[in-house]
Amino acid sequence: MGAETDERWLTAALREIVPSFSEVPDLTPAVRRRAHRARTRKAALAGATSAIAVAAIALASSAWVGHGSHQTSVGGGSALPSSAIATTTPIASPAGPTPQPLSAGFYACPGDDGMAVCSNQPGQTPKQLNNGTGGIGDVSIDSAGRFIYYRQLVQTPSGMLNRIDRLPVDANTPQVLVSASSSSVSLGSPVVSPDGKFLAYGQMTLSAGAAGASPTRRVQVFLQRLDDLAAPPIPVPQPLLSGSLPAGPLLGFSANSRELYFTDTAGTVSALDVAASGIAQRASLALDATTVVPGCQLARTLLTRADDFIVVAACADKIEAVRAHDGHATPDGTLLNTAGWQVTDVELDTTGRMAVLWWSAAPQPPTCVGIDGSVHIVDGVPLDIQLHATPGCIQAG
Amino acid sequence: MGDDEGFAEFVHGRQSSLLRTAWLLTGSTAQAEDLVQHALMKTLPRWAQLSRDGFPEAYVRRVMMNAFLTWRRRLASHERPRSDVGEMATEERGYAHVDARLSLKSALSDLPRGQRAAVVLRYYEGLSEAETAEVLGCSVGTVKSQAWKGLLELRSKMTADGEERVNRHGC
Repeated sequence: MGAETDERWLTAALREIVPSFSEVPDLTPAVRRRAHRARTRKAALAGATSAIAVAAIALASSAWVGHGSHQTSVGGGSALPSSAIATTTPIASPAGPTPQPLSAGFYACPGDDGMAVCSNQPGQTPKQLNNGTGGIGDVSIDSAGRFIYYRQLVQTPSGMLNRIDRLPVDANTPQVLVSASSSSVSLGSPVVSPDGKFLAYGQMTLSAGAAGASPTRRVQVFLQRLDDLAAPPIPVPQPLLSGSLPAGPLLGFSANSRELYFTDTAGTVSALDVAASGIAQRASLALDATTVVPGCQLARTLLTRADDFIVVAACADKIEAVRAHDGHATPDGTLLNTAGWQVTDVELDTTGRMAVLWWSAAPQPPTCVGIDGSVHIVDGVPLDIQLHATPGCIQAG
Repeated sequence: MGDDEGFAEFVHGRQSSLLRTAWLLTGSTAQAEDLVQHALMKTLPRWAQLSRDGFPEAYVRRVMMNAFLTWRRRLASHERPRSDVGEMATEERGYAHVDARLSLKSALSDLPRGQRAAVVLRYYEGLSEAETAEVLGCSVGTVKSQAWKGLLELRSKMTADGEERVNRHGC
């Protein structure tokens, strides 16, 4: 088949496979709601400016204030493998105490094509997790840094499968831990207990509602014995979850006890007490994150290996990380935020010392169509700021 | 017509087309809707200016493509996968036809994002190499290379899948 024939065939075939979307409800209300949420969030960011050109200046003068006596400017941004960085403003050099070197550890990160696992050591190539469908997500790594857990969508000859897999950090062949064939079931958020005996994961089941009604969603949490994968998963009794259904990812197990933490829509963290048998016995409130960062927009809550919680939130003029332990909250880093940056995600590495925070900002037409960045914070001290932007987003400062 | 009405009319008129492109990029209805909503949300505050300039759709598509290429983390980690085999065109033309459509969809999903974007813009949207380069923010040479590699890869995968089906069915 010649190239021209190929091209004609492809054009025709693509037009044939794509759904018409002619009966999709009008997206305008959803877009307006989403825009309203974004505006509300932005409104809280007093001093926010729409001039992205100012972002470079703001970043250059940003400062992370570490906990305790740490106080430092942002770290120098390393060169990005991208031609889209458009700033001539130098990022400030570190001025505060340099943290002790990190022992080797890993964290989930965006790769070139979907999710990847990054090393906290410089110069290491990310390990790409890619099954070709783009359906990999909810990546977690055990505290020993030996196994990567994630959910993925896999196409098989008999249909689509939702799976939770385990992949050794130094290998490329995953082991299937949980599999669901129904298209109405989604699996997610796999986390493993510190002793390696239990895998906890979430399951959402969609059921068709009455005619014209939206489908109903049922969220459950299961524990699967890892030493006996043939054993049926143990459901967490629904009454234990009824007051605070898991809305975000399961945060993980306590390093010191068999407690499983999860967040709900209101930002509270609950703890499930899991017996040695894998049966969850009681639930209790572990943290109300909204009280830790009052008046701020919660972005993410993380669980450290020391059983601390790190709460990251966007506040009026800063993005703030707060460490909470036994009811006491202490600042763990503050990024001055004068240009409307919004937190998109935060990950903690397996050493528990390094948090990686990604953010994005609204673009400006006609040339600026995307801008985002990241920062590494070790022991509350920023070591690296990176900016990605399409040309036209940031001008010389 | 006020800006609000203008925006609503634009969305009403163009959402199906935007969703089709987004579906080819993401391979899922849920992610396609999310991608289009994201692009429209970014466009809304600037609607007055964009509609005055006369080409709002070009901007929406650029935001969408940029989000697709750089928004990996959000798409990958927060969206729940769901089976969407049943989302394709509904005409029933026999299992072989369904197989071919599944193969193309699967092969398209297997392409790296850059190649997928170039293929969709060049061969589905029908943009020129220069227009594709402008939307993707790269050189014409890169577009040529990405689209060509994508085309070869799709042909190779489709041929392999077809042979496998023939062998499986013994015909």
